[in-house]
Amino acid sequence: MGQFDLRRAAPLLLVALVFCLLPLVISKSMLPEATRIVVLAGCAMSLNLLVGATGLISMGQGLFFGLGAYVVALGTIRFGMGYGAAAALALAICLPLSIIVALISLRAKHLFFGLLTMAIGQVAFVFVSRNYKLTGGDDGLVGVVLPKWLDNDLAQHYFAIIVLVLAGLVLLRLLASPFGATLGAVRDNPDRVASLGGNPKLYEIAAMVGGGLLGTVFGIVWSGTEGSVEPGLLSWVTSAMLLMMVALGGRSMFLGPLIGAVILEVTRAILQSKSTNADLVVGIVVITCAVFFPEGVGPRLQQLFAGLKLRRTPAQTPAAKTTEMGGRA
Amino acid sequence: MNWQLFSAQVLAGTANGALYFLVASGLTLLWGALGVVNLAHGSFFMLSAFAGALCIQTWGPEIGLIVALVIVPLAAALFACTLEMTLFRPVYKSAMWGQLLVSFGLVLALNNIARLVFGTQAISVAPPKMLSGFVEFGGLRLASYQLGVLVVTALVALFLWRLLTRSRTGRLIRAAVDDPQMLGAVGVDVQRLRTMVMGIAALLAGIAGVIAVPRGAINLGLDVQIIVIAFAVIVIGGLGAVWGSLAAALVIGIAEAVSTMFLDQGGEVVIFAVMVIVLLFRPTGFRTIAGRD
Repeated sequence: MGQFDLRRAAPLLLVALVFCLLPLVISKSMLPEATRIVVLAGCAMSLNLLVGATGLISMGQGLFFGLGAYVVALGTIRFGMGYGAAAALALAICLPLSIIVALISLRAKHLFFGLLTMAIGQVAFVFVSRNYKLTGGDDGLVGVVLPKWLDNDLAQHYFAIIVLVLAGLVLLRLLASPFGATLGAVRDNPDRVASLGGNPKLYEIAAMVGGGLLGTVFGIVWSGTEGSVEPGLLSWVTSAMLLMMVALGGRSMFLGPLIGAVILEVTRAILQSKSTNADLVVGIVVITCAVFFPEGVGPRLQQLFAGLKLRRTPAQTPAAKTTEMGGRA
Repeated sequence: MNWQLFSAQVLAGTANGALYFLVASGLTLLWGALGVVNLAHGSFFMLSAFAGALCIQTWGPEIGLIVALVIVPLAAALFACTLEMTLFRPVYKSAMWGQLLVSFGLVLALNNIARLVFGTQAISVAPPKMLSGFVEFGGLRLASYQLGVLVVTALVALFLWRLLTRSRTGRLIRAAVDDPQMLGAVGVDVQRLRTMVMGIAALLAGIAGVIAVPRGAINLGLDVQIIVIAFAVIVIGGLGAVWGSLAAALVIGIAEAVSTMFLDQGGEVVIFAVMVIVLLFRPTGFRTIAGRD
């Protein structure tokens, strides 16, 4: 368990600052892409509460992401609700839904758990994509009614960053708490947690509710920044994409999912503007990263930085150096 | 109740289930026996279907189908073995994460390659004359294509049974399902076994892909669609259980086809409903392998 202080939050704030300064550097047409990366990164970070912190390989995060996006879109377009009210409704639906999903899928363990979450997500996906009357079916819904303060690209960009920072701080606080420490214990040795008097399942359910709620939050942001929703958000491909961001960036690092999201989405955004074959290159990038950094890019970067610091400080004892090398091998 | 329609749906469901079995049985062996999770397995199926359609377009419906049934599965097996040796081998040491990443990257890349080679339009080819009609059987009209699928699947299942029970490879695979560590400890080359099972799995997916061609509408969504179903079959059947996956595939196929008679939104939802219900009662599927969960 680490302490929750400014030093731990600093990397997050630094990244947020970089994203804040982006509109000065990149062209106007690329700004929505940057906003999209922020939202997806946030959703991947909330998934990492399950994957990295608790050891639950959920392949159903798209369910909550899509839930947030769809409830807001439906609420504002079909039922004339305000953005805030629709967001509150989405969170209110997400709470019981995440508990039900948790209760069903936690019957199985490990990858079977993942496949169950995927199955539940697919049920929602098929339901939404076939139901033309309510959800617009395959075509999705266009024209989410946005409040005044959110109706330009720049405002949407900063809104997404603010939510990312808030969610990141909540996650950091959570992980630094005794609750977060127990999640780690559940991941590493559930039997031992049980023998010490804890109920691992309860912690897993709590993690799923937390991850689900945060995923819904980013879904809400998504429909606010994109202005449209489509059923693909709910499908397992979205869930798998988010999981890949976590794995690619490094699940053991707090900012790992963000790094993964940036790698995947920047590649895609750059290529998509030039050709229709972005998937090919993104796929090759994923494979290359997996072959060279199977534990994720993030930890490797961390090691590199640590190595640089080591070389700069000559006061290091040789013993410390060898352990560092040993740790790397 | 319309019994004519019902029996037709049951047969259609059985034929679909047979296809699911072909795709899932290889995957369940690969995962259960050797711990390889290959999300790109559905891509093998889709690429084989496209290649089969191409063969039929080139050589006509009859000869083309037979040629495709021989060439395409072998090519798929060769392709899978190559991928296994070049891309999967380096990532085994990082447990499942490396495999998930590599195979997901393959899903994206192979789908895009298929789009480049075969185009975005769904391909439908004429089924061979022999398989386009119906067979009268005890007052029931049965589609001969579906019967054909069942015959091919039965032959493949027979081959698989012979392979698993009679050959040395089969004995090794079964040993790996029961205890992979022990198998490595007694000196078996697990690395080579992995490559072989990957090849066999792709061979089965290739056969499934080719015999799916006369169903028509070969499209780019097939890879994702079939892999999800295959995973459902594995989960219901039990990890590493080939015959469990046969039962599961048939249950799913028939439930899916019959449900379309009552629900206009049937299909996939029923598959996952079956999966969730089975797992609520038996979290490890039909067949449980000792010590696994």
